[in-house]
Amino acid sequence: MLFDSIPFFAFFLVVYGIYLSLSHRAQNRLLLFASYCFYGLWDWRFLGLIIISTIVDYVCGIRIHDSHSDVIRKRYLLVSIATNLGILGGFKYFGFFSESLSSLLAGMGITLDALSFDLILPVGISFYTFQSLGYTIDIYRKQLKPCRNPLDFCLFIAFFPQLVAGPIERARRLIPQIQKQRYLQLNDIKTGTYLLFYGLFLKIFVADNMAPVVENVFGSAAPYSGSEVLVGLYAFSFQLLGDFAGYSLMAQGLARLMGFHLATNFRQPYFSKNIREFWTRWHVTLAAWFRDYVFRSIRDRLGERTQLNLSINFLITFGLIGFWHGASWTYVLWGLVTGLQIIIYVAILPFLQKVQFADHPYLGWAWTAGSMVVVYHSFCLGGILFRADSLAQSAQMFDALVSNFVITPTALKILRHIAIYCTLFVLLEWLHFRKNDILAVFRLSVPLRSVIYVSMFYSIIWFAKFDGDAFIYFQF
Amino acid sequence: MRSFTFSSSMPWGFCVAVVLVCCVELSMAQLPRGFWEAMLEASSPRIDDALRVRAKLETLDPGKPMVALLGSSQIREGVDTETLENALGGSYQVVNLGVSSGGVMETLQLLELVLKYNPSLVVVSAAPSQRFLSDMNVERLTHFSYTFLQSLYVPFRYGLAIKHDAWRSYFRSAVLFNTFPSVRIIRSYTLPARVPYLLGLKEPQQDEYSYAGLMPVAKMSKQVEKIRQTSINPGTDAQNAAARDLFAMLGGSNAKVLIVDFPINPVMRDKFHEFTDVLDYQKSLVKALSDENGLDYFARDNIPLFSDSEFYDVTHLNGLGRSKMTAFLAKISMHALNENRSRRANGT
Repeated sequence: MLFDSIPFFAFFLVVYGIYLSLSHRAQNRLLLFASYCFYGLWDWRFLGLIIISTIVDYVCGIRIHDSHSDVIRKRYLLVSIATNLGILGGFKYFGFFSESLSSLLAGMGITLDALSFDLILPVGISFYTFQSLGYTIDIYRKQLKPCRNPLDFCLFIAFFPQLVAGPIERARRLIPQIQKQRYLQLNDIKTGTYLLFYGLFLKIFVADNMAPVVENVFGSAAPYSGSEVLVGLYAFSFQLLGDFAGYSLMAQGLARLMGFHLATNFRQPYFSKNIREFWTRWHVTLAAWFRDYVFRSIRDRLGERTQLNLSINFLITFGLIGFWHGASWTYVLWGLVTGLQIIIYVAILPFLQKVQFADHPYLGWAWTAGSMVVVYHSFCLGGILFRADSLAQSAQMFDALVSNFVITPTALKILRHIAIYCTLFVLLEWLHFRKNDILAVFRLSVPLRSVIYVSMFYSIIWFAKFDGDAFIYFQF
Repeated sequence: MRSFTFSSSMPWGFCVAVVLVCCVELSMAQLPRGFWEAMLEASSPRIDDALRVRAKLETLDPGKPMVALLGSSQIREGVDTETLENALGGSYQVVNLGVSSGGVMETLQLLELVLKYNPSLVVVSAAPSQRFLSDMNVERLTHFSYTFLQSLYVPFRYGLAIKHDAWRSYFRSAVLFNTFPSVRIIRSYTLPARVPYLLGLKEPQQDEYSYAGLMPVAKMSKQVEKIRQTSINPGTDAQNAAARDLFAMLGGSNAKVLIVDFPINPVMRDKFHEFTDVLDYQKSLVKALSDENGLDYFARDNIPLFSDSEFYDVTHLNGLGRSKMTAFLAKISMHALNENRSRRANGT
């Protein structure tokens, strides 16, 4: 069930209605049952996978904590890692490795039929395995005590608002909320409702209206027009943010209605002033996960903190982030290119710090605006690799940007289309950015707030498909 | 037990927004369909169908005799033209000119067009939406004058009665469209699927016109413009006159004509007396007009029985129902064409 579908709203209304009338323990049991039903409705066959991951990490977490031997603790940690990454690797990456090996050997003149199992990718596998892994790693690092209530732990893994596409929650944040009684206030209902509707607005009005334009640009055959590729990338950037941020906001809103506070996953990333800041604003929970469990581990392994070691670390981490997104070389390349952008930024940072015009009223503003434009465009250019079907198509599109940049009427029409569907979104994002608060709308005057609510409401119902396009990040 | 406490602040912005929405919807509910269809030329579903009709007529094979189907969405969605062509031995090209929300005015206009192509057979659906009616409450059918309470009550009442596909096809869209009249107005021309065409990224193909699907980049012809202008609800007397003109034109043409009642979901017919009353009244009216002009009329009693499982809503047949109706039409069409051929052969 997609969040923007009628069956899901019916499901949630029923669950919510019962939830409000139950005691704390009963609420948790209801949520667990509802979460498994929700996941099972996607595909009941994959319930087994999530249950296996849950059981293994529950047991491993307790054993890691209770054991006094480092060897045994490490052993249980490896069991947890192997189980989770094994499930993830088996379902998500087996085909990729098999075909890549086959291609590599073919290049050397060795023919090998790629072994493929034609496996369906379980929805949300990349998210809940990482969430579960983070739990056992935190216990191993002695940053967390294990959750001894099995049902509470099951709910931590399977909590339906964030199960299939994040945010990737940390155990030390979500488990206490599960274990403690939740006191629902009007503010929670108000905030939850607003986040839910804002998320719906982003998904239905922004993302779904950008989708056909993006499909037309990326689905067409070469030769490409540079201007159309560029505006297609703009449309894709809004589609991606609208889709993913929309889902995350809906997840936050649904959880908030039940008294849970989920982590913020997007913080107006397109207003970032540098690439490093971008990754503190874009898919925050994933970036934080890789920072804490991959980057810092590699940093500790590499030892000396030289520029070279730092660069290697960035490349590995972001290469893995790219790989996390999909079993394809385009994703890996996208990750590596992003890593390279950060390496370059870190290298020129001393120079940038000398040049900034923070104290100058106009130049400072221009510098900030210019930085935002550069960062946004560098993300958009990376979007070619992210969205293109193949490396060959990516190369053709890059080539078009450089060698065939002519402003066509179609490009102008696409730009107009983007302006129509994304202006309100950009204005709201700017407001959230300036106030550093996703709920900044609540502090506006009543008339202005009402106009925003009405605009979002009509945007949703006028453009709702309700059985429409799936969320992009469900494929990850 | 759970604790449920409230803070003292009222969500004033939300309350004002609800009031604004109610005001907008109640205002838009007062607009008669003719008003906004005339204003928003790109929004009328009839534009889609009119363009489709034009496209179909322009691509006719001049050497092959034609069977024309006229009427509303009931015939448009209720007949499989390819199956019908095959059932007629492949000797005829079947052109389905049914128009969504089509009434007697549209049928009259399209008949004028179609007769220029000398069809061998014309089949006209006699559906309630054809509005062959005189003193029925036409206002309620053709005007968006629903109040909120009525628009909430009506789809619930009907939707709960229909078991088959009720949620997906009727219940959901009826609640949305009737509770929010603005949705109906805006959605008809702002569907995201139309975007590539509006942007000029795709060119519509000849057969790529449909009410439920895409609106092409409109190239309005004078004929289409004329159809659009006259399809606005003209009022009861004008409709009566148009119905008489239609039957007179059908009777005076060289084509063999069949007037066929298309079925209504029996659940609706049996549970809601207003449907039965309407259908009975229409039957007597259509029979009188048919007899007056010497046309064959297949009333409800003379068509196959349909069950709820053969409909996807109140009036439209699903795939199962479509197959059944097409088979029936094939039978009576073949009989009518054979009869016409032998009459001509005998010089009568």
